[in-house]
Amino acid sequence: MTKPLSLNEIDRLYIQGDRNLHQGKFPAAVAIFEQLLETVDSSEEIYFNIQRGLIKAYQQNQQLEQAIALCQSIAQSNVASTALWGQNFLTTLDPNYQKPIEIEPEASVSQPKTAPSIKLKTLEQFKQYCQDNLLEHLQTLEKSRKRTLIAMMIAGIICLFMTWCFCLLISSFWGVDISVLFYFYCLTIPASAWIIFCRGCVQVYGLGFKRNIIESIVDFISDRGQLNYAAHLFIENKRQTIVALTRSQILRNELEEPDYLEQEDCVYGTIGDTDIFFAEILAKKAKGGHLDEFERESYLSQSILFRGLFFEARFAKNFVSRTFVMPNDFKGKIAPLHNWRGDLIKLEDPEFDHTFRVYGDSQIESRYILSTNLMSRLVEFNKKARRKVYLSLFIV
Amino acid sequence: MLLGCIAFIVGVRIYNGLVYLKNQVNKSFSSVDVLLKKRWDLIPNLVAVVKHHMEFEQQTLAEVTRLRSQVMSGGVSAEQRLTLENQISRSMGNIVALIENYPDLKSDQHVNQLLASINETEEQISAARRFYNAAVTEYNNALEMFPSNIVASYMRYRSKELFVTPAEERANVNVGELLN
Repeated sequence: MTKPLSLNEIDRLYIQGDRNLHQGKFPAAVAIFEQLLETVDSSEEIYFNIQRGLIKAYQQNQQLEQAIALCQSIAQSNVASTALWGQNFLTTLDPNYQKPIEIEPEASVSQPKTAPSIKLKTLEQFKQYCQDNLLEHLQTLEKSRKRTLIAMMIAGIICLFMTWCFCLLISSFWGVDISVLFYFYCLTIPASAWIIFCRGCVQVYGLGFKRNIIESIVDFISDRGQLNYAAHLFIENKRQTIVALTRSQILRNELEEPDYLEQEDCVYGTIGDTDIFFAEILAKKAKGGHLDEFERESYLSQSILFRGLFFEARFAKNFVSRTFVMPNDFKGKIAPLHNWRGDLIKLEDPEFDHTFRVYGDSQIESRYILSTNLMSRLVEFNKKARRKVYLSLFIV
Repeated sequence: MLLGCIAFIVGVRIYNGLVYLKNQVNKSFSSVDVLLKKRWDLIPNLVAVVKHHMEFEQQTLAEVTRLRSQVMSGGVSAEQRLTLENQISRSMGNIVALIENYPDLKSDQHVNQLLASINETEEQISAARRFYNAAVTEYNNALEMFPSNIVASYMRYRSKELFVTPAEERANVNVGELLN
């Protein structure tokens, strides 16, 4: 009989398994995910994430038969989005696998299948949804947040007090007065331990928030399963993000690839005919040491290349040139010095021209892409976001 | 001597700047021209695809074909050409609006592809016109501003006209009126 795990233990184990998977420790990841799969109830929201992690771990660990078997069970799930993921991944695992074709009698044969578009909801609907579905989670999280804060404060006070006691002990033992500087010097070690403790607390709290709240909000927005949520994505998706980020030239140099990429809160899916993906990412460049993805600790120093929300989508128009839209600040003005971004495009919308600076290979195509409608939407979005907005349009 | 040198350098810069702006206007106009010709090539395809289905709109189809032949003949002035191109735009818009009334045409894959091409070309023409207008505005500004206006008058440069959408094109298409 397997001992039931608490929610916190499940969270910790899941993070550990996911980390092992990302770090290439596949046997360890398999062991953790297998343990979780035995203990977690199949009705839990995390269950599918564990199954998905285990399939990926099996695949990387060359246990293809187990991966296919588990994937087949997912492909027969009653939940449409889960079954679809299973069917899609089976085609990757098993080239002979034939995806079931759903026959829709009323659908026109000549019409390409289009995913349903998202019906925008009102603020009132969102409030009602929160009231009905999220209130309980939010109350639990609020309690957890307060507990976490209290634990962090108590730990901090203990650190300060223990260090003070230690200094007093030293003072009485040596018979000398202890300076403030010495106190702070002694505080460095407990302070480091306290920071590590706080990070752990915040991480556990954050995972609970993501699992219960963000995922539910994504489900609310995409009422017909157009969008999916994942707290983290896997190595091959990471590679795709690195390539897109590098080619977007948001980073200074086109050839400068980040050595380390962390992506959280990934939302992906298809709306209408458009495939979209967005996530919070942190891209770093390592200096010195051995530049291996799995040996991060060997780097001498790391500098942040990009931190923010990275959105990737297929653009509806056909074009062959590149267009870059960047904030009209000092960095945007000197952008051509770092990297070749084409000619400066002066557009006729005064507000857009004041907010953004546009570079592109073709004056006409840049205007074809940046229609008057898109320009006004970008200005509006920039006002709402209150963040620096960059836009890169290029052919893959 | 020094002042003379400075005046010469400034003069050369203004002169080169004006030549660049004039060439930019010509380049942007030729881009519009290329795209308009691309649209001409789509007209016979559109007429050929819809003529069997739209028996009651033969007059509209004949009109767009006549306008195309007229503009392609080459014997028209720049102003006349602009008017004809605007008329072609309007006629094609009418045909596209009329297609909505024919479900069998609307569901035809070839018609949909053709409509997508027309739409894309129209958007490209619109972008090229915006580029032309931006180039002309910059050129006209240079012609009116001091001190480039002195050099421009010496070079006998004249201000150029912007592409302006005619009033009837600015108005929304009345589909009901077209179908009656």
